Amino acid sequence: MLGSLIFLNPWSLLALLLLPVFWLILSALPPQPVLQNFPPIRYLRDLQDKTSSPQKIPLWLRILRLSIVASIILALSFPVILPRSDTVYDRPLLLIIDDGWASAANWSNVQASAKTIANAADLAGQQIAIVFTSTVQQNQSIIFEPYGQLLEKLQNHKPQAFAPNHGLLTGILQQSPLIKQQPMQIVWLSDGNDYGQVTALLGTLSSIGKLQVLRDPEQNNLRIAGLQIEPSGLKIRINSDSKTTGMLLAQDKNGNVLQRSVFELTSEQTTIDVTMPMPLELRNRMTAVRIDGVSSAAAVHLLDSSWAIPRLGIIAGRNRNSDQSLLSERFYLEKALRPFAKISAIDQSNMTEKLPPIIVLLDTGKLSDTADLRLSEYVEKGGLLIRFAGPRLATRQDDLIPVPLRSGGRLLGSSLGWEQPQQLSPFADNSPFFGLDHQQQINVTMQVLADSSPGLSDHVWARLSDGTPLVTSAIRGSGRIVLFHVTAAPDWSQLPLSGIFVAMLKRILPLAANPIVDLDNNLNPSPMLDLKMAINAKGQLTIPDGSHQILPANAEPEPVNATHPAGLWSNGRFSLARNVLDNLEINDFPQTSDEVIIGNIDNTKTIRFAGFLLSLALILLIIDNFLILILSGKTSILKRSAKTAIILLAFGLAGNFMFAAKPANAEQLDPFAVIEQTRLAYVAIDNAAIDRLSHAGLKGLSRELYLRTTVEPAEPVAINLETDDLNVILLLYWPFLSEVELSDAAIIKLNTYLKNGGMLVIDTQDAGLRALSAGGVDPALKSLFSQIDIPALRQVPKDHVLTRAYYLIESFPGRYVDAPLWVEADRKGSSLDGVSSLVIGSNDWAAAWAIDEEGQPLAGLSAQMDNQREMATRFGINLVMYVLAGNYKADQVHIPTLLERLQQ
Amino acid sequence: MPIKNQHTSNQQANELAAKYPALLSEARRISANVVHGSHGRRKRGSGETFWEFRRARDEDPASAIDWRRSGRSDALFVRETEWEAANTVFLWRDNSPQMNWRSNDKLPLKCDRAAVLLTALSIVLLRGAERCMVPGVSQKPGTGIGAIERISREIITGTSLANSIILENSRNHAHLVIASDFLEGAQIWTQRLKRISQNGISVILLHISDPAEENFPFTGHVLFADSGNAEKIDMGRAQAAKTIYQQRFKAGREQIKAIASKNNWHFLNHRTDQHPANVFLALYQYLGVK
Repeated sequence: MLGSLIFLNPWSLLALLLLPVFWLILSALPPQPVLQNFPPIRYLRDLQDKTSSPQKIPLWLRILRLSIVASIILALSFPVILPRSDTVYDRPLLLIIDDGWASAANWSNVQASAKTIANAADLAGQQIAIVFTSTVQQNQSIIFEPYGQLLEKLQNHKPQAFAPNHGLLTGILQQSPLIKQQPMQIVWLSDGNDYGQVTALLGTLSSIGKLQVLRDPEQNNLRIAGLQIEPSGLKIRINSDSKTTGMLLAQDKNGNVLQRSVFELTSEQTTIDVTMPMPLELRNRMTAVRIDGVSSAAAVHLLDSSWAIPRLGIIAGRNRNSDQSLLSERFYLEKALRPFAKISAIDQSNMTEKLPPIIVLLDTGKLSDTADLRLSEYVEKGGLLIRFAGPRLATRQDDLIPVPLRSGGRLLGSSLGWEQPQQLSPFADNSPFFGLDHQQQINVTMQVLADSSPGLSDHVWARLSDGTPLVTSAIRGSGRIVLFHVTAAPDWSQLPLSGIFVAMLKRILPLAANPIVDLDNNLNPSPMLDLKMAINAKGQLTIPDGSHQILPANAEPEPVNATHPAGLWSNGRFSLARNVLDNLEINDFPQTSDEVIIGNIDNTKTIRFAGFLLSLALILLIIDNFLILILSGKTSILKRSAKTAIILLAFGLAGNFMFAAKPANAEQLDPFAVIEQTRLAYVAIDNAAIDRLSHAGLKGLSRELYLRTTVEPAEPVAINLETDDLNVILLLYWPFLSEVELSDAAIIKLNTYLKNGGMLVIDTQDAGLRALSAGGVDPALKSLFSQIDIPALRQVPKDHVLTRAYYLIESFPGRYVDAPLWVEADRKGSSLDGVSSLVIGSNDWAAAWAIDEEGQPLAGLSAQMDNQREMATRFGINLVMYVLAGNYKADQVHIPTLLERLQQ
Repeated sequence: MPIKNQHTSNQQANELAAKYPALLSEARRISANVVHGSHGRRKRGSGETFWEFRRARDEDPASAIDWRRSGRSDALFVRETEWEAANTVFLWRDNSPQMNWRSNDKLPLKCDRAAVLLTALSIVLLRGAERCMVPGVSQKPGTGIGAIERISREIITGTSLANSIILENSRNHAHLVIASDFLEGAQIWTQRLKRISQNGISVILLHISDPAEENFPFTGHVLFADSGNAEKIDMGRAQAAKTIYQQRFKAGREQIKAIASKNNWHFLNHRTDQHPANVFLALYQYLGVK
């Protein structure tokens, strides 16, 4: 809906008066003539007069140019169209704006609407007062402000991350002298929620003057209304005023998303409970739940330390089976608790240090007096003590137990007794274990029995099927004691072996995070908390600005407010998350009397024309330039520039593609290329000539494999030991010419590769030289052997699988013939399937295999044997077959014997 | 002034020489289309083509007798060949600044097109054992294939002035090809060709024009200039002059044509956007008919 058009800078419109002058100037200035070289100029003589009839800019061109000038002038006058407004402002205006959490998501709408209203009132000559409901102060007075100052205030005001305080405003309005002076016109930009005081405020406002309540129809108050722990994860309640879909994110403290769930709210269903499955490990890391993409404080729910991994100390006595650690109670406890708690041992003789929030006391027998005193004090002050029974407790009880015990244990299911080993009965609904699976076999054969006394059942968390308590608990001071009536080791029952043991402990651990749960608050002085991290109105976590006050941990539950804003409060040990909607009562907007006008805010934006007009002028200017070129016959320039533009564009695109394509053939090994097709691989060393030869050699071998066998390898790949992934490599040929220094990562990688069944073919390529020297271990190899795990080696025996994997061969020639070939000494191979993970030689096989692009051999051979190149190829094929097929040809070793037997 | 002139002519010569290989190869391409050869004079004479056997006369030397023919009868015969005389063809290209112009980068310069046509002609003629010469440039006429190089170079890089069309060595059967745009007007050209017309030489006037000169595609405000002289004509609406200009241009060409027909010469018209082969064939035919 469009309203009035106004000019912000009307004086520049005067420049429009100059348009006729421009018209005249344009008419007077003919365009520059085109210089044309023309040999038959003779024929043009005396035609001059005839054709020089007033050469003018064509009319349409003049109009075009005038419109350029006009658009620039109009743009400079900043025309805007203001939204239409029906309201007649005949009294001073009081503008009340809800700037609470609900208005944050659509604050710009609220701002724009407030500006429009203020503008309309200002145009009507009325004074304006503005008041924000969330930031209203106790002693604030309501005054009229100049329009400009008011606009600035409106522009700079930020919504708050707590609820509007309508009650306080009501009080201020009732006492404001300004209000009493005159009847007013009131516009209330409401967020549509009743926080309990709206009716009172409406009443006051109606008495002051004409009231108009406007709401933003786009506002839906999408919010996280609550969060609950479920055994399998979280249950998150989401509320919205209109139908919507969204996604819930669980985030850790760095903002990483741990879990997502999608939710959908239909128009009938405004509340939905989203279940977010969440393993405990992830839940412990989680610090916030957030509705994705909604910038509102209500779309964030912070979690406090009750979610964190608890620290836990174990006080163990002297072990009954001291030499059998697998039977020790501590072993079972640690196994069960390790993923969920940070476990440390506490020395009972030295308990002066700070104690963790949870202490597990095993069957230690009598504690020292100081330790006993210290533990009592610890529990009194809010610690959680988990105890396990045992023979020592059965014979001698102390006072750190939840319920009085009968002395002596109870033996069930023994060979002399007639009672059967007991199982669990279902958990009562007031037990923290409620909902756990009680049907697991726990076979309790021995327990300590609680003295039956009135009120015993209040303390029982788990019972056996005969009704005797298995787990009891009692509050002691501000702390809690939990007693398992069996041992933590499986000598009294199979409970420590069953899954339910872990599940029960997991349920108990969170109790420590908030020790004053169920406790009488009056007993202990409450810690004071400070705001560590605040939630701002947009739902972002920010550093607090210092305007808050510290909060006692046991303060009355109250909604967040300016002094105690939403965020994470902490005193270093204990943290408390205060969320925007905590303890906040939200009702629908109450019915109003007929005099109050309820409406929607007008979201029509002010339309500004300056930018549009300037772009129009620019476009017209470009058109004008092109037209001049066309008029003066310089179309060829146009064509050329168009061509240039196209060429440049094409180059740009091509360049993009080239740059984009570059990483694809970068040197990094693409594991998928190797997996897709069998490829031989070689280690690229610093010597380019050797690398080329290795590549050509493996290529030649690949080609022969392709021709002769069903192995069809693709182009070989070069491997950089430091950077490439070796796991997918079938056979790695390593021309080993000089000492290498491998990084630790590369060594680990290489060792893993060898262990996992890879094959490394090391070729020192120096058999020719070795013939001259005295033999011995190659010094370069020595350096390698000191770095990677090398099993025992031996020379290839006559009947090794390598001699018969595909061809029957006797020697292993490459460029040279004589050098020995070394494989693992262990015939079964140190790794898989009896295949030696190492093949070491110095015959320079790559040279013998190498072919050029035409398939011609590249290197000359030593010619020490007939058909040396063919024999080298046969060795290469045997090598690949050996890698691929393993030792199955080894059976042939026995063929001579078998044949001999058959003959007999 | 003379220094400047020399400089420009040097520069011009360099420019022309730079174009030489390209123009020559184009000329060769065009000339390759023409089957050439000496043209018979349809009478006895010195030549290679057999013309007739005649009875030997007493004055004939014994070596002239065709013994093979004579052996078939009692009489002695002499083998006569057709008289084949080489024509001298003078090839002249207008080098005036007006010729050094084109309306569009895609078209050749008028002088280049003229050079191509004349060079192609010279190649064909020299292969056909005719004699070619560039008046004002050549010291002597060229004959035979060996002279192709020299004549081509003289046509393409030579800068002969219009009044240098003085034909020495001219004979009755000489031909003269003048490639020009004839923009100086019929009067000047009548003057120039007066002496030649008295010589009875067969002349071909090859009128070369740029398409823009014929169509006059200019519109709007145009300032016409001519590199040959300082004359400038400012036209407010060039399109208004189109009709009159075209009439005048046509009339100018007609006048040149009239000179040709008056003297019983040939007139050929070529526009640089047309393929040169057509006009080249016509040229060759005109030369060959005589």
